[in-house]
Amino acid sequence: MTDVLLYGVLSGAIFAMVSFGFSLVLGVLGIVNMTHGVYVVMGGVLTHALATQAGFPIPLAMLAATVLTGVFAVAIHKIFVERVFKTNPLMVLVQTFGIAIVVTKLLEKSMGASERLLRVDVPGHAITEIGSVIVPTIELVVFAIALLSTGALVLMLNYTDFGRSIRACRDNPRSASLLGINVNAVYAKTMLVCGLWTGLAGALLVASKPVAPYMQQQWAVDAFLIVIVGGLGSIPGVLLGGFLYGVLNYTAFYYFPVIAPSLIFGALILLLLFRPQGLFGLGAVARK
Amino acid sequence: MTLKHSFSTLGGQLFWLLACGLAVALVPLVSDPYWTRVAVFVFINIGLASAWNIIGGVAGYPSFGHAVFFGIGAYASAILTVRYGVPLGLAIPVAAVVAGLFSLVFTPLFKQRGFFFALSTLAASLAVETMVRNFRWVRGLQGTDQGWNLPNDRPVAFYYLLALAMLILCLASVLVLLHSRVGLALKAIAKDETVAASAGINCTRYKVYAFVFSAVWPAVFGAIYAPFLVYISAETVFDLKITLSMIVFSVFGGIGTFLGPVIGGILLSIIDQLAWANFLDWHSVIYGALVVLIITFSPGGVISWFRRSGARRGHA
Repeated sequence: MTDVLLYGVLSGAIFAMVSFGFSLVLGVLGIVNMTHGVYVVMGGVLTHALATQAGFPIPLAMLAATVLTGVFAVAIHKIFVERVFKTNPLMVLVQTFGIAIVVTKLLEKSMGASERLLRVDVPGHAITEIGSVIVPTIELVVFAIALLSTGALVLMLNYTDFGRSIRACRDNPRSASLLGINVNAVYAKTMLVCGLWTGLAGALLVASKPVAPYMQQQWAVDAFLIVIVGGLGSIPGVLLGGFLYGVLNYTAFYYFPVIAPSLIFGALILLLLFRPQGLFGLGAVARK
Repeated sequence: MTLKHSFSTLGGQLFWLLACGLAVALVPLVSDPYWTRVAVFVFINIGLASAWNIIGGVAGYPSFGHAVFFGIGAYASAILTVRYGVPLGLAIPVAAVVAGLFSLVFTPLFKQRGFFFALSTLAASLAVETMVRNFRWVRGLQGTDQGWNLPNDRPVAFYYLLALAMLILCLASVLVLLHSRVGLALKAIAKDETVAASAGINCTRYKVYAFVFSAVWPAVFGAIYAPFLVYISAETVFDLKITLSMIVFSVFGGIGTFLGPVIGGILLSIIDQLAWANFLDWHSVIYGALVVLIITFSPGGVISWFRRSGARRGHA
């Protein structure tokens, strides 16, 4: 039992990291970005390709993949999303879904559709014992990096000028622009931040679990389910939601593999029926 | 009554709908079976898009889980005809009723608006899909089946005429709805729900009407789809892509309008079919790219190319 819980918590860090970017974009730009799953997958696939085929050392491969994913996110924003999201935010969902389909297919064509896993061993300590559970050390490293980078993101949002401008645009874009903030630039930078952090999540993910382009849809779905559960507008909500989801996912699949998806979705439905705003949601947000 | 006037009254529009329907009904006499089969898909797609348009376009509550009603219709039809030997003519209305009752379960979600409504409907429908996938009695004839095999004993022309008949009924009911008090209320709700409520409109009641209406028709078409395709499974009839198709057809043609889903359904179905037939490998890329381009550069849809004001109207 403890090992299942432990693995659930470990996987929760990446869920939280992925959902955080999604929640940020949803909160600041007001759009549901269906290419979010592609960021995850791109981070993983690029890392693997750079590390195994271009001979990059793994940390450098992860960094490069992260940056590339960030650039990709901004490009998508500038070329496609920017034209549409102000007048028709909900249609961005369909638009980004189309982009996700196209990019996934292009990725598959160029890099192959198969699952890939980066086998990494922490030099010296391949495995670690926590209590009675044996865990590959890389999983702990991934967990730590995910936690730290999410923490860095939270700190940035709360304590830097850049973070303040992002929050200003989220709370009231009109006032923000009246105060001299270049709202469009902030939107683009928010997408960059989202792409970077989600790409990093994908890069870390490929070191512990297999990643393939087709998984992008599941990641997008997971991300916004976690955001719904955690509640929009709440940072601790999303983080907690990510961990809860990781644990729920792991335990459900371990103990009841056949009905696990139903259990998870059943739990979500119950939550939505009794608390539509999510765990920590900021009350009834009447957004149209 | 002038010709132009006949396009805007209910009676006139119903007349034109029937006339077009009769013309289309004669097409199988001159076309080959391939295109007749494509046409059945087109009719089903138009019906789905029109139904979604009522809740998503006219009422302004985009439901992202609508494929669930299509799936319920398909499964109901399969279960009734295969397991209980119910004739198709009875299975279709029963499927519609089942979907209508089931849609009432979604009513708590109407407390939310915009994104929250969209995401919640999506989550709810994903839940239903996985439950169907795991509930043996529903999933297949034997406990080990993953889908339903239906008898293949009717010619394509039967499905063509059946789908066309159902489509004409569906579009007629859409026209009646749009011209009624319910249609007015929905348009008011879409414009500004708070003001509508202040004006005395019982918003929740009309939203529920719209939702049930928009759930019943996908079930009808799902019930036709099952025997037409001969085999159904949870993956094929509850697919997220079906919901997204409903949305894309409506948006492409012109969201919130009557003709929008019709035009979108026809054009996009044909494009999709041509892409699949000629560029199989890149078919999804072409379709996805087309969707993206349309939404990026023409959010008002094809209909807006023909209108100067581009404002949403409830009728053709």
